[in-house]
Amino acid sequence: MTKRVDAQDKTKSFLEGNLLFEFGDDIHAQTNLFERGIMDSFSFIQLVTFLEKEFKIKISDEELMSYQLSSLNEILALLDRKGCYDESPSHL
Amino acid sequence: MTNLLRICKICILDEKFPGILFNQEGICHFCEAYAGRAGLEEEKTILRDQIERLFEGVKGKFEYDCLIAFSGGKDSTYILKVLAEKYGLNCLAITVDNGFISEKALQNCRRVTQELGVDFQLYRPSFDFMKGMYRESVREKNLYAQAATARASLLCNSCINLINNYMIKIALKWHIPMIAGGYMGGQVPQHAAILDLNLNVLKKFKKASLEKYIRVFGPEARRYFGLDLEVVEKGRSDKVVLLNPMLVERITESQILNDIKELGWEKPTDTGEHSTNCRLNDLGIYVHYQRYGFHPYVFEISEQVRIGLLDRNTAFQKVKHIPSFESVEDRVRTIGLRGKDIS
Repeated sequence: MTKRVDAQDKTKSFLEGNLLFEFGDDIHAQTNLFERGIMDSFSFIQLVTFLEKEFKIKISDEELMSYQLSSLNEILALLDRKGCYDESPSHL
Repeated sequence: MTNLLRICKICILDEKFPGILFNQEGICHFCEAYAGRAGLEEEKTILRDQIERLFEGVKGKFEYDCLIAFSGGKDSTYILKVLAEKYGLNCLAITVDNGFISEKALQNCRRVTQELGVDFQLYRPSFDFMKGMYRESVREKNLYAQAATARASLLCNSCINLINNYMIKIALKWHIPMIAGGYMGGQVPQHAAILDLNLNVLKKFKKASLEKYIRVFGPEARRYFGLDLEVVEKGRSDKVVLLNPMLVERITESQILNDIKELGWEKPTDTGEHSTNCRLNDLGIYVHYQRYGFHPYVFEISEQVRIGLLDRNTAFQKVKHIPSFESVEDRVRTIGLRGKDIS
């Protein structure tokens, strides 16, 4: 089981490395990455592929339609719901 | 006093590149992450195995095994050759002619597909629409996400989106299970070697992105950027996978050129330094550099340096030359841009 801090680091690195931005004062864990023009549909498809492979989970169609997954915190919350952590989360 | 631009000591990215960070040794965070990624070659081997299993799984089950977004350029030609010859896939190659494809590139398309015995289609969207699309891609600020404009010019981004949409449409209509492109490392992220095209995700975003394209490019954009949702619904039971096999290949540009020469492929001379099919590419580079201050190919070329397929000096040479306004002026006029649109 992945530690929450590792999952957070991996997801954060994936987003920063692929979407070419840096989390900081301006863009933080609650920032809606779609609204800020950072994430688009292609990068969202990549994100889903990354999460499924990295955390060995299957994100169902219903989950994809129900959850926004538009911020780091929303992504981490989904991982939490899928039981990807070995400890309880404390949002950023 | 001269202010020297900070440049990564391993690749050729400099501080103008969006989101770049340097460590104390002057190495960019992309190179640092690459050095820290143990087992990258093994990762590629695993991905290659997965791709080969996908091929085995679909072979002969549909009218075509794979749809290729075939630009006629060197990379998609190489991928078409690999898929058709090495893996024996029954491919349909589709070339989208944006009105600026070099005559020599079109000849290459015909010659290569004939030589490989592959079915070939040429799709030519309305030239008026294409000109307007390119013009508004430059005029409209913030049309694309930062990551997209860091990897390709505004003109290329619009074209790539139109082509992708067309390929998805054809794959869904004809039940073709895979779509392959010739994108290299740096042009798309490494994670994009195999992507499941989730049709729900597609539906989730299509409406918003189509509205954006219609607003910027006009009502005709529906034809080029829209998807018939009924077709998407019908296609739900079909799995469409997007493949970028170049991401798992380890091959240099000269090896590719050498390899495709035997198919009769000849390098066009009117497409600038960075394209082997499109005469509009230099205009894309010119506009991108004027607007963002860095070459749109620098990320892709840096990736080649990072993975050891290109030496750093050659890489610097490749991005040294920015096309002049005079050299692209005819295409600026053709698409109806004005000087103030570009900056």
